[in-house]
Amino acid sequence: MKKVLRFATVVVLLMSFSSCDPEKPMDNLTYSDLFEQTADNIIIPSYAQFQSDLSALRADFDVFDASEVQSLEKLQDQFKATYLSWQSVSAFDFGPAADYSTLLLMNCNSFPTNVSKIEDNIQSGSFDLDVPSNYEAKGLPALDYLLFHTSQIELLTELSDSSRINYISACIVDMQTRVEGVVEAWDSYRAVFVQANGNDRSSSLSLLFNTFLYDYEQVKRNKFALPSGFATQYGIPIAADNSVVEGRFSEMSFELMDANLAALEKVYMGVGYDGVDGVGIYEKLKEYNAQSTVVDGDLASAIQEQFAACREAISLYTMNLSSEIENNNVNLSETSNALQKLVPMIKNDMRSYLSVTVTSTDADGD
Amino acid sequence: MKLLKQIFSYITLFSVVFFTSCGKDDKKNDVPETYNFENANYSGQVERLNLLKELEGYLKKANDGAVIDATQVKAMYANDGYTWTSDAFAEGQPTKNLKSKTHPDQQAAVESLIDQLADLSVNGSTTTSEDGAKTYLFDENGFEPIQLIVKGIMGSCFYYQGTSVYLSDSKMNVENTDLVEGKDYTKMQHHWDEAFGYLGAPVEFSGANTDGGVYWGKYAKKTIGGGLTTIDDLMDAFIAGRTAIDNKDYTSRDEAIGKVRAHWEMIPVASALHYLNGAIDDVADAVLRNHKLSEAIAFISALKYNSEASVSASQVDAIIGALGTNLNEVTPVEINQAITLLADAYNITNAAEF
Repeated sequence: MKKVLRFATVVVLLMSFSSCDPEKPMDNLTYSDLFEQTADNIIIPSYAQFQSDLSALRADFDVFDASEVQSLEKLQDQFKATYLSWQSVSAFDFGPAADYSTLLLMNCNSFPTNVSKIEDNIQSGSFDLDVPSNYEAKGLPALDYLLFHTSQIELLTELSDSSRINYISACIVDMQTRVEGVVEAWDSYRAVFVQANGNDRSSSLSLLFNTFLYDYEQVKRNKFALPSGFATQYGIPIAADNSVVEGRFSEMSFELMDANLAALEKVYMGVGYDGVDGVGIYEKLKEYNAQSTVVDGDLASAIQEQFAACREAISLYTMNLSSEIENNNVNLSETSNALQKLVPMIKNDMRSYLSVTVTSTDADGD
Repeated sequence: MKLLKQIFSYITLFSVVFFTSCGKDDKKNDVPETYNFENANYSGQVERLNLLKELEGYLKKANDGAVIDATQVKAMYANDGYTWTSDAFAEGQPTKNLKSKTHPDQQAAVESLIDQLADLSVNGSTTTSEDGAKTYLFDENGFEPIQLIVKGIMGSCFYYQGTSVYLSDSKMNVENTDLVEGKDYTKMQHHWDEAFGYLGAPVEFSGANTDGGVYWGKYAKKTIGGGLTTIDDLMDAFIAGRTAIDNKDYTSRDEAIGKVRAHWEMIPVASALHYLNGAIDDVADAVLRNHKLSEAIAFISALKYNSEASVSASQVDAIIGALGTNLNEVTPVEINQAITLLADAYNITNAAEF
């Protein structure tokens, strides 16, 4: 009882102090406009687009004719469109997408894919795509391999084998099922999302920020620095390895990266699916009059400019990323620096103004 | 704006400190703040914690590819014919052992895990996490014998002795007036101290000062993530019980026994939730995932060795059973099922925060 009283006293005291603290950002700045814009005009339409691209892929696959090059090309083109539209949803790995029965990100885009595991699964014909050990043998990266890893003539021969066709079908259906679940769940999750105010771990602000940061770091590290030889582990450089790029076999690494950056930029700016610029993180940072510690001046504009600088850097390459790495293009280092420069702007500056914490944890030492 | 925010947080902090210290004045003057009782003695428990430390250090060499000698490990476990080398035993060889204090049902199980580990260290091979950071030795079904042995002993020896044996009627209904011959404590005081010793906590251990704990004292920190006040509650209970024994107030002592058992139980619960959550985070990396699942399984198994456990042995088996018999094929849904079963058994609604 004594303890309860003591606790209550502290709580009451804390409450009274917070309420007479009108300058505290969280008290007078709400985020519901940001959440509504992000949910209604970015997240929900982006999932719908990815879902519809998967349906189109399925439709092309269902009428696929292994005797026609045009049929393969149609399938390949639709795969590329689907992989590009995936980039617009990868940053929303929370809520329905993070449900344990879904885990959309891991199931749809674990790369580099494990070619020998894919071939083993096809050969044995018995595989369970729900098992985590198969994450690296399914999803878009697996299709990237199965639909692009060799010449079209050889692919047509391969794809006349029903066990291969069955595997591709299973991979597409698996993604369709998961995305369908996410799309349906957002019907009810939308209300939860726009109302989860505050800045604790489960608040929408924290979820949105953390998945945004994680997705950006994936672009910076796994999609670029790691294959290009600019990543380190415990401070020790990791040698370049162009086989670990995203979209390795379709050779669309830069396109995928740019689509991913463009999607993040839209979330940041609050640009909706209809192209209308609404409330984004940019507007919130402006309201705070946030200042950058990385460059002088306004943080909101600095991040906007750095997104543009990164996309500009990528647009200048003439070959695919894998070939640029192989040819030791000297500009890669500069691009890596441009991508790196955005990290502290997001992870330190933006995070501090939003008053959220980084929730990804490091493994403990045992 | 930021400055104002800071000022307010200082004021708030200050008032919390102020009010807390106000509250403490209400406490009975004869209940100390720490377990720093003048005649407390649990050197035997400290010795056993050090035995496990050296044993664990040897087992972990298997992760570097070393061959493990089962005969040596069993000699260490029983402290029979092994010469200890760690600093803790620089002053002399230990006289205690871990095996005889392990729950009778588990002694053979520990030894068979030792045999399995020794065999794997010759015929198996270690695997490394995708980031290259962690290397462990697993059996063919993804279970990690080292974790099952070490954390298993934490459960079936330390936790069993601390929550069940030394707080049992037969250890508590003993002499509490005359001192043990040649000692400055009574038998009852000593038994209570021995239970405390198995916690591996420093005398001034508290939620605000969690440094220096070993084994259960170290894993106790996992309760903080979930917002539990286990550390303070458990220390308060140990201190209150020892004070009650000093005052020959057996009603208060028995209340404290119930509290020690209930609060200590939350350490394996919180640790298991922590590692199950971690296993889901690392679900795609079999090495990290199976390591964390092995830790979690050992912590869940420990729950059986509390004589006033909130879960039955069959519930414990069901929670572990949710993970299946082959960790290489476990799905995130199955791991989540184990989390749900465990959290529900303890009315925990924020399992993801551990």
